[in-house]
Amino acid sequence: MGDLGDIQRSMARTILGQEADDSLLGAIKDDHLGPAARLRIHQNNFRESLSEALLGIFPLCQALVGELFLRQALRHFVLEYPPVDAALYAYGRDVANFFGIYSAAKSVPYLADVARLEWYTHELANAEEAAVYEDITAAQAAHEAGMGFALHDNARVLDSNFPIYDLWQALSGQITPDDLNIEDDGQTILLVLHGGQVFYQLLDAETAGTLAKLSGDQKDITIGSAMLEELIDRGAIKPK
Amino acid sequence: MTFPAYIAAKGAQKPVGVGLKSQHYDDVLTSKPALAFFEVHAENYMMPGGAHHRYLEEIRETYPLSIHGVGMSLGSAEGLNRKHLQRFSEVVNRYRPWLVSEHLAWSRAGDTYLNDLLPVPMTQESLRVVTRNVKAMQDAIGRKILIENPSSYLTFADDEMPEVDFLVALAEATGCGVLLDVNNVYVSGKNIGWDVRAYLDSIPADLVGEIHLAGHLTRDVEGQTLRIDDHGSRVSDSVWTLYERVIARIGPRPTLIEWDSNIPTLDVLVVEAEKAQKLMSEMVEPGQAATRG
Ligand SMILES: [Fe+2]
Repeated sequence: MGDLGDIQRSMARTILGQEADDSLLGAIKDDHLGPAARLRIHQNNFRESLSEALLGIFPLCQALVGELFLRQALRHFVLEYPPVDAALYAYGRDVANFFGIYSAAKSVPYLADVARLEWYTHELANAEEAAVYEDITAAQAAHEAGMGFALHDNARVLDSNFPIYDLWQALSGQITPDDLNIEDDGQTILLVLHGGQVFYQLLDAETAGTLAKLSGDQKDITIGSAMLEELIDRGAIKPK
Repeated sequence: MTFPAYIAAKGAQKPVGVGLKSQHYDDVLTSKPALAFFEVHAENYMMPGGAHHRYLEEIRETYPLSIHGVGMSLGSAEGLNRKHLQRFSEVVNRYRPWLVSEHLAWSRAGDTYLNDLLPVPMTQESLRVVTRNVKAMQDAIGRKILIENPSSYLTFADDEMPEVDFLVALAEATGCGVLLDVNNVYVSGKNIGWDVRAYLDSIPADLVGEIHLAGHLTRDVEGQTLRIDDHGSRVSDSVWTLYERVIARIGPRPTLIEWDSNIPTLDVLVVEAEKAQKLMSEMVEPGQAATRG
């Protein structure tokens, strides 16, 4: 086999699921246990350690589909979306999108949104907490002067086609599964980091719609002072 | 490698610590166990904010820290990842640890982080690569580091030197020290067929700045018994015996109990740490009368 770089690229491909090429197998000492079996230990380490790490981020997904199914799904995920970075707190952003297209999860179409909710939670829990914006008078003045507003750094919005807030309550044991009707209309959750804790708020359609407009690029949005006050109060927005 | 000043300062206290796990944060702060230090993985403190930082800030007011990297990929032919190096430096600057360490291993290829301590061929080419990377890391953080011997599951047909010779040459070229993981030597020795005692007896005493102890798993792989370094149980009797042998030869060293999977309650780790403390207290230090207690 060639130089160290060749060995490492070849080994990386093998760990990511490709068949080991002959030159790599030839570069590894063959004694009482063959090179392919020895490489499998590292293939296994990769899959297991990362799926284990991700499992800790998605406890509600686990409550929904069970540990066995989730582990299996995450093992597929880590091979398809390997981490780019050793700082693993940032690894797992794509899990929700992956669940959206993962054929084995087809019968649980809301799994992706539960994963999205948990990812936002994880992201906020590891974020630097920015100052709360609470000056309503200044906000009104800024709004009248035509200044735009953006979603606050401490906030995330999850707009779901499923009753995600009820689902969150059921999966975290705040309501019984009988109180959840998955056929109900979609819900929007606002997540806000405050005092080191993530809070979940159910938004009505009007508030959710206004927030969607505000956090988009749309200009010239007129919102009533009561709504502006509500959004500031919820910790959802800040001036751009 | 200069002997860590902490030992001299604390005198009789034997410097034994445990790996800090988030499951134990509250317990550490309330029970304040009699440990000399805590070791943390640098990568677990690279996020911008959150509970991990809040706890570590508080814990370090009572305990010295050791920052242990697992993702620097010092064995990578492509060199170090700038962004990771930058973040590692930030963790070191923020927490001002007593010890800093990384591994003789690689874990990155191109845009992929493989989350494993992968083996480096024991060749002159690898030695040049690792030397360059260790120097770059030490320059970036402004201090010398300790390099840990990895657990091995495979070796390379073109290996040119034993691992100990590699570590000694690396230390000579970079000024780094060695973090001697006794469990890793045992695991590698069993998996590869080395003479574990010969390895431990030949590592130069003045290079060893820290010792790791951990449990491992025995697994049957295709009809062969393999030791897997899972850090998921108590230190095995064989490893304790080897540890005694090492400290009897080189003297007391900062010693860490690692436990990273199937994590028990904190008191179990403390009991393991006490065992190491006791062994260090009972041994005869080189050039000194025995202090038994
Ligand atoms: Fe170790």
